[in-house]
Amino acid sequence: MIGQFIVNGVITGVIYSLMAIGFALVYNTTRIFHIAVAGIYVFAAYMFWVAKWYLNCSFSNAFMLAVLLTMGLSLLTELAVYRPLKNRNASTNVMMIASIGLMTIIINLIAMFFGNETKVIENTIMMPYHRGNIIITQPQLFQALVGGMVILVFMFILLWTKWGLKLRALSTDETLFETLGFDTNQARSYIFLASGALVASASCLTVYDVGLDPNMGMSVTINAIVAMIIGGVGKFNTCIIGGIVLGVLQSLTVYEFASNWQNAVTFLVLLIFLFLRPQGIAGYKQRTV
Amino acid sequence: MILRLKDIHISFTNAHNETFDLLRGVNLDVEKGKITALIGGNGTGKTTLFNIISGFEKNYKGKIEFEGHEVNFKRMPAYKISMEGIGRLFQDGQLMSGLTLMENMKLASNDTTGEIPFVSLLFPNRYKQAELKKEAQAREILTRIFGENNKYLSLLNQDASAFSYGEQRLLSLARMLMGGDRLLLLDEPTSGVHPQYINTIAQIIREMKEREGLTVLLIEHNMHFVREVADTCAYLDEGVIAEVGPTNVVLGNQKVRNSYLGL
Amino acid sequence: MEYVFHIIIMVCIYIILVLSANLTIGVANLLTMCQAAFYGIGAYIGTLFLMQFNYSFVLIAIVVMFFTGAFSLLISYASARLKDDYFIIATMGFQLIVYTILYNWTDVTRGPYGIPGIPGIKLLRIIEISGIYGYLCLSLVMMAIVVLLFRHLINSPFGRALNAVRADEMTAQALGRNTIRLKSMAFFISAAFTGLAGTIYASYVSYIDPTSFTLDESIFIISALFIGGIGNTKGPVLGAVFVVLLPELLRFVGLPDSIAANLRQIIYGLALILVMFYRPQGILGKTILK
Repeated sequence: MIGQFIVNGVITGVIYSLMAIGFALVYNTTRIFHIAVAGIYVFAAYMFWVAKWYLNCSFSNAFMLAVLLTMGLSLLTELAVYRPLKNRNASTNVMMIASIGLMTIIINLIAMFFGNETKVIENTIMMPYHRGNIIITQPQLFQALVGGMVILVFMFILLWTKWGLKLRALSTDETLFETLGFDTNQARSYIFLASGALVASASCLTVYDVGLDPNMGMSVTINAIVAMIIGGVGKFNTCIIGGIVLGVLQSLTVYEFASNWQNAVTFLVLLIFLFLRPQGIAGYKQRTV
Repeated sequence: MILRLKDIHISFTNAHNETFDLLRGVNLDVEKGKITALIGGNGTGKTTLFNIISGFEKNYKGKIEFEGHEVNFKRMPAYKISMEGIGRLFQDGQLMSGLTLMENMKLASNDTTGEIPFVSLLFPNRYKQAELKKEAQAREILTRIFGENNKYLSLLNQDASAFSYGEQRLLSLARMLMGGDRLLLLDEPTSGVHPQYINTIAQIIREMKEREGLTVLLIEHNMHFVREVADTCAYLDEGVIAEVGPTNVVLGNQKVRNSYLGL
Repeated sequence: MEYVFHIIIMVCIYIILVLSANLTIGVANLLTMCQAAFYGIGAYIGTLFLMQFNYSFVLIAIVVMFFTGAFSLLISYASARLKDDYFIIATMGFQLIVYTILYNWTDVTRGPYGIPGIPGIKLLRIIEISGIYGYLCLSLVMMAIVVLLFRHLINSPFGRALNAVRADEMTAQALGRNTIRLKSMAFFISAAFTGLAGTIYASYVSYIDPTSFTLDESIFIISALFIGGIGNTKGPVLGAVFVVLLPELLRFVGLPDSIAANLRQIIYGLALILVMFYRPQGILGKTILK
């Protein structure tokens, strides 16, 4: 029984990891507290739904289409809001407030067009896979495989390509990055594109399983932020650790208590980390002077 | 001796978990009523030492004596140390923007009457008297430093951001006199300031010593300025005070000239 | 006419909420995401006392403000330990924990079913305030008192010291100000008055459930604050009036409810972004968020 919960937790953790990396990409490099990813997440879900039901795309085509469109929206947030604000020397708090505004606009535009009720992507009954006592549904299998693959591709790019090196450089020191003659604006554009892709993957894989409504973005985003913090801020591989730890932890909360206490436990863990180990599980303490 | 530092050690851990000893046993006596300059290369720990003395850095080892008796600086939050009589001007120290010049001056006073919410409502008289006293004190200090009928007296209700960078530095120095401090820690008082103000800053610092009888400990990279104002000079190198003595002696010392001044 | 009175009462409640938020967020630059948690705590504690005891309004107000303020000590503790984004996240965490508790602690709060039949407020234990006229008077008087108190507070030496915390916390400490205590007092006052607004609200609508005190509500209060302006009293008052009146204006124009609800949110979002672009201190505000 407990094995089932751990497997479920790990699979949810993969989704959290994707979302956490999507958030951390922007946060580590630009210091923008990009709450608008909640809106971007919802957007991706609805694009997936439109592709599936109106354009009759297959799963993979709908997925690709949603990812591409979401990358566009993510870039748009940077070009239309964050970059002009940066040019006005706005503080990161001002950017965060603007990000809240952005999220509100995206979510409510979607609600206005598609309505507030929950929609489903797949309504056929699919055969789950049995492995001993553990049952894995087909959407879960997708989440684990596709999500895991996206993370692997991202880590490969991060660690082995020139682009990844640039990204790591930018998340260490933006001024130095610029002084060395690299184009920060261009790098930021790529970052928002990549962030959009990761958020969209997380979104499509989730809604394929549980359906979609316009207000689902915030809780996923908050879980992703928590995953990022308990993993360790400042790096990307820590998001994966944080995501999976959080997923398993939430799943065990459901096993031990009930699902309605899940959020309380999540935030209790967050507060414990913030106060006792702010550098996260795998992070390091930084010199402040 | 107004301030005596005994064997101050501090170390930091970097990203790769390597420990790095910044200060390795600093011993320094700051003489009362004198201007002491603390010189040394970038990253040698001068500002960290200031942070230790003014209470912003607690993770150090060693002892500090202030005015003859040992003070437990580790237990004392920064604001209490300020109340004890040690003032601090930060590097790039400016007035607080969003507040007027007068409000800046009043905030530096040691008298915190009315700063508990609604107290000014309950005891309006006591609060008004305190405010008037602070106002008079502010005017008096500005007059003492900038002369009779200086322009700042008419600009008391201007927002701090209306003053130029250099002027803000001058006024920040003036603001330090509101608190009744006896030891002033000035972190690079001339950095970033237009040359026209540097002489005024030197003059203000000298007057702080001569007229107010204050002790000044300052960090400075401008050697002309150091030569002009400092009585004593302490050279911080490799985590210890390598040389200390009268300014012209220390600045003339071959070791200091070679390793720091690059002459 | 009752419709107009209802709107005025809601405007008054929101003016209290936004002014309270302004003291910490606007004056001291301590961005919090948990105003609705204090609103909820105040509403539930107020409800408890209104239903269990036959106390007068003044006594209930004092008790509610004290207890809600006591919860703010948790936030003060967080603000002393955490900086910037970490502090914001911690307040968000507090908000969500409070919501989860209100939702799940069914023995006390009745959870999602809410608490119906909350009795009216009693002035001096005898005269029960009931009907819309009573609440109109009460909320107008309370609003006026709170506006005057906050105006006094911002212009008092306490407000000056809080401004110093915003402008440069290190310098404020170097000038001998106990910034941790100053911030704690600001959080206490902010939470206490937010809680008071919660009690007035609970007693006025006579039914509360946790969905009125969500993270979205916190964001709504913050939006009102930033649109109106931060750092003085004019700004927050304008912000509160704007966010409460806008939906009524949209209804007046004749938009169907289903679209109006979303459109109004879109307008808030747009207003927030425009304000951040062109007037980061808000329409009538004084200070800029750092």
